[in-house]
Amino acid sequence: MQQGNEHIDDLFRKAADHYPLNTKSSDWEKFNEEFGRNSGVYLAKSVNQKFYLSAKKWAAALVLVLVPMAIAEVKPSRSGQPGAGMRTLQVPIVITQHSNDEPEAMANFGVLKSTALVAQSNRMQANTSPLTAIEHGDIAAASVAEINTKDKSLFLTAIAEQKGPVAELRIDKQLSINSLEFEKAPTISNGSEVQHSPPEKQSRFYFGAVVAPEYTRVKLQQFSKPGINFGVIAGFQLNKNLSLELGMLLTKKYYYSDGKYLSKNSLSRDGSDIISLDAYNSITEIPFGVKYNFKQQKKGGFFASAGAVSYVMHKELYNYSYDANGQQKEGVKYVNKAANYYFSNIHLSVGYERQISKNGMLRVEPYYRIPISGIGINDLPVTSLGINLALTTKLK
Amino acid sequence: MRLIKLCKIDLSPEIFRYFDKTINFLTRATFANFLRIIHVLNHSEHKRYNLYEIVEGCRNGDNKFQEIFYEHYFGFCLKVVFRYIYRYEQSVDVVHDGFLKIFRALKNFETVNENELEVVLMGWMRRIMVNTAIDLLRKKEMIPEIGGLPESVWEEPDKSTAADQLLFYKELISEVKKLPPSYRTVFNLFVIDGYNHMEIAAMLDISVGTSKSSLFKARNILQKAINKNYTAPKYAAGK
Repeated sequence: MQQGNEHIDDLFRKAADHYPLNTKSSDWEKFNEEFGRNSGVYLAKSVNQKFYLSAKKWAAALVLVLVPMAIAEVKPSRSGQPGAGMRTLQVPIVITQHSNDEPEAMANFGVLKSTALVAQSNRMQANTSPLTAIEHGDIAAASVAEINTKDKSLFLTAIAEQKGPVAELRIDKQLSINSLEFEKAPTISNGSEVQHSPPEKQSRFYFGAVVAPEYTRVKLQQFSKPGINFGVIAGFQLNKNLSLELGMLLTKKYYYSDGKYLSKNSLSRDGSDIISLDAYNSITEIPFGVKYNFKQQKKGGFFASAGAVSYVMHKELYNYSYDANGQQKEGVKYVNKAANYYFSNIHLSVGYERQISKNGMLRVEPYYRIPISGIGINDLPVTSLGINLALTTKLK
Repeated sequence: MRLIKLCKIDLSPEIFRYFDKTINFLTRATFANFLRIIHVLNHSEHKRYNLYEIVEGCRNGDNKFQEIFYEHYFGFCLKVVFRYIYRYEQSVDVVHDGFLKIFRALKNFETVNENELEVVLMGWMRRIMVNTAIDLLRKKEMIPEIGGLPESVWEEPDKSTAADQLLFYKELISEVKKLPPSYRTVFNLFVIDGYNHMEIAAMLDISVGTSKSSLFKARNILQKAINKNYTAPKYAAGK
């Protein structure tokens, strides 16, 4: 009997070692996310992960800065602001003598700066007569009109009579340089230049510091104690009224919730009922939105803004009470693990901005944030109500 | 672009087109895709490490080594747990719980000899997995499970010479899993995992007599099942 048992035992030991079980259900991501967070254990981030997290932040900032740049710098501006959509392309152009009647002094040696000037572009489309333009002293417009009419000799004569040598011509960037079919010839430089000085450019980038006391709550429940946000914002003015803004703020949020709103087993894994919780979250907020100035005054103005807020959670602390077989007990849960919640809130605000120095602005902006998705291990949709106090300045 | 102008750098139209394309690409690329590319680049590096390095990395809380450790021993741990826990999905959860305990306790794990590290480590992990599985069974008060197991939980044996033997092992483990939870647990603990009746009694909070009785009944049931379904003496141990 003993020997028979040994036989069977050996058989089962071998079977236990070698039985063909499907072991492809390993899921590191799930394990790392769910169990790492639920247990409150800090599964330390590797150098790669740290790099990944910081790269994400920088990538976000980079993309969001490049988008307005792409709009404003690459595409021709329609805003009518001088300097917008410009690019510099320096090409030496030789303007030569075309007629025997014209003196050599008519020839110019200059540098053609291909500069996007919307006003000129408009004139080109209107087929302005070169002579008319020159009479009004607008050499650049004349040059454009000239190219349209293809009457080069008339054009050059007109320039010589009206302005003399022209050192710098400005044409629209859409104009192909090849269309200037000037012939090569000996050139004379007379040294004197007439330049149109460009209007003073004002940077459209601005940045500033912001501090914002705020109240947070979950699903119209009571407010807990106020939290505080502080950080930096940066913006890019698309036109007179419209700006894009991006911020990065460190936030401390406090809120209360009834246990019924918590996701199941988020705090305890034994299935006991959570009665209520008081939460503290340490978060990096990344708001991104559009600001619209709807009422401009002499030294300030009113604006409204809307956008989305992403959260990078750093720390979560929950003091909760739960029902343990009819007895109310207290528990604490501490989670120290980064988690990202992209575009989890919609940001709406109106505010007043006032100029306090040449470039400096003071901003007061009450805001309201509506949750789209939950945050934290409890997946709670948090609503925030606060007021941004910001000092901004334009980049020089 | 503004910077380029400030620096008074002359740019040809080709370079401008290149800038156009680059910026357009960045504009079109969605935020998530952009991050995914970075993530892939970050994880494209695969290196081989020895077990000692992996364990040391896990002790230091390095996520990369924890992942390697998890992927390497997941199958072993699942095979241990699945003998105790009837449902496959539940077994995976138990394995995850067990890994959590392992990562917590690895700091206290003493590696005496590098050569024996794997043997000691696997024995230690097996104990943790068994204890975690028993915790769940006790929590569920050893209530018998109903319903069969889907075929997807088994690995399909290839057409090697050992395929028949693997199928036989699969049937044997299936018979063990069909046992009532209390018998199954005692059988697994005593026969396969090498615990004695004193230890089993303490672990399951039962008497030594109950443990022996459960083992006796489990063996009887399994013996009958083998005699009924498999007349395969050639599969007996060592033959």
